[in-house]
Amino acid sequence: MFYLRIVWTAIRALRTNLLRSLLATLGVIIGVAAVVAAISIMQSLENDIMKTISNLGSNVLFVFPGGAQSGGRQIGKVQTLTIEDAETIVARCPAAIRSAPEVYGLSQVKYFSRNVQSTVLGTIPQYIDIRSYHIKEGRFLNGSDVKSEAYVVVLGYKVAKELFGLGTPLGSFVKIGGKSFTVIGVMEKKGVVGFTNVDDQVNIPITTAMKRLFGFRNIQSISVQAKSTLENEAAKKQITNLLRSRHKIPPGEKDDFGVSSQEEVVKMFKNVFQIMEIVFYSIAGISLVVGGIGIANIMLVSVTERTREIGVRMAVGAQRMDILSQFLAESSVISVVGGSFGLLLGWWLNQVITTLFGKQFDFTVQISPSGVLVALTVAFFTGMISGIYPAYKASRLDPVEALRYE
Amino acid sequence: MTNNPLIKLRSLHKVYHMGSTDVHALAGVDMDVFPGEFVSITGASGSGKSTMMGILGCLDRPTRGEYFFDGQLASDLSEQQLARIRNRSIGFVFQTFNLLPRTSAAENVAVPLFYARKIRTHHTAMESLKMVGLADRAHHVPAELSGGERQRVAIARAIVNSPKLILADEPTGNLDTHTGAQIMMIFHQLHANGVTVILVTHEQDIAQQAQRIIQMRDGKILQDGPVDPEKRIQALDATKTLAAEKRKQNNNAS
Repeated sequence: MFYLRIVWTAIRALRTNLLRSLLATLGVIIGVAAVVAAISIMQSLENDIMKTISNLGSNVLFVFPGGAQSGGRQIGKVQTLTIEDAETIVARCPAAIRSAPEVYGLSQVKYFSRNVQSTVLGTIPQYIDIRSYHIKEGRFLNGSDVKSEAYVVVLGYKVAKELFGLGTPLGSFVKIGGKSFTVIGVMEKKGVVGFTNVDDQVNIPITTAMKRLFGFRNIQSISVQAKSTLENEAAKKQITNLLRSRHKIPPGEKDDFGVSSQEEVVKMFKNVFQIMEIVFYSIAGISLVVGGIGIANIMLVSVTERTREIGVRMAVGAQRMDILSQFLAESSVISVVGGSFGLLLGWWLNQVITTLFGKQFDFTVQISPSGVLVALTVAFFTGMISGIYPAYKASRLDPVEALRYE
Repeated sequence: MTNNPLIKLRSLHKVYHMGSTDVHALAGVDMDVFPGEFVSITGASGSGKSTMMGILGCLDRPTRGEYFFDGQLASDLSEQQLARIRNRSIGFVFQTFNLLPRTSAAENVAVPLFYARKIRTHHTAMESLKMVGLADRAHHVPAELSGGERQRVAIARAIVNSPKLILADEPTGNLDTHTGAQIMMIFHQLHANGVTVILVTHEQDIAQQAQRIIQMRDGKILQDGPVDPEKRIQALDATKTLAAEKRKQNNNAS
């Protein structure tokens, strides 16, 4: 009861100086908005990306050049993988049933005056089965396309839509990197897989890509399909042994390639997310600290301004603890109110982000109840902590001098 | 007045350190005030009356000497106990009223109740406002009240916890004579109800309305004695007349 009234008194005191109270809490507003936005964006992104990673298929392995790192990050520029490596994997590893070499490049895809920046993937027919993608119209690449280094292309869903609208692109010519390609197929809508949105991607024969378009001598990755998820580990071992012997790596030396499964990719993403989360929270934390300093500052001013009031309160019987509680209540209330405004601002930011990027990246941002709770709790403690010194100062005033204060 | 003193001071000293010099605001004061007394303290500024009020009000502690309030040695009490005494046993009335701004009269009066952890404070506060004749102004904030009204609110606040002692520091100093007379009538009323009143003033006609005048100079008591009954009656009559005139003015105005 007493403490409820203390809070009520605090609210009244703050209301009488509304603008100043709001300014004091600005830092907290921004801090909490940042926390809210951070948490919800991170969670939404994480959910989304985890979902798209599982799109990769749980029995798909990736072989990439350079040393394998813990967590599967790709490092170095060593180009060691060849098309032959990819071919031999299927022939010599019993646990692997399909494999597809891949090269990537960024390029403009033009159709008359329209053009799209897209990822050009050079691969072979097996790719579509390994990744379990589907063709919407026309056909995917076939063996003779690869053998003859044909200028044919299978467009991603979005690329086709942007270049051709509702009309069919089959049989039309598009320009990729200045060369003319015949459109032989369009992929079904798939969305984001891993890091890339495959709807933005165009697929051409790997031979064409390497020799005629990019001039690569090595491939950038190999997608391998294991017999089943259970044989992921076996496949990994067999691939490693095979490639080590093919690359003539003496025992004891490090691999010049890496093999990772979806599980490891997930782990890698989790690591990335953790780092991003730390960055986000640090920013939010810094603005909360700044907010706290703002509140402490205004509270100090308020204590000085109300010296006489404090003296009067002491004269009529306020204990030092009562004065302390009152000012702590004020700084907490100010901060929680700021936190609530911050929540609103954060929610609004999320709406804006969803509207701006939701379509592009195919995710919706939601405010999680845990985010709300964390934000308000953090705001409350920010207020408490930043109020401690001013409140202590107020409670230690000498009543006689406080009463004489002009 | 044969019972124990409410206030007992024995060779009370208060020394302030001002830079390198020591200021003896109180230099050995002995004084007894018994329950139910009405005492005026007079003296020029710097005579130590304000310092004395601070100590009597348990806001300040003496440097040396003893202060017994209601039989308890104040220097033995913790800050918490002193705050409790200020809350329950002492009511302060200041020259500048010292009401909380932007807070209604009723809420101002309720502040001591709040610190006494009492519930149903509004009712008690209203009773107290009725005593000073301001029940109808209960919801006005100080800025909407006249000086006399503000001082009456302050008195209502001082008496809301039914204290034994009222300490009034120049309560009429900021008021015109008519309004001051009105305020004095309230003090007489309280005194008649058995409350001990100690009033600091430099106005003779105010001081003489008390039963006893203590005159201070240079931190010491210069003179301590009963008021000449004739002068007292004169002063009281003058105050009654002024208060009646004020009441009439107010009635005419409203």
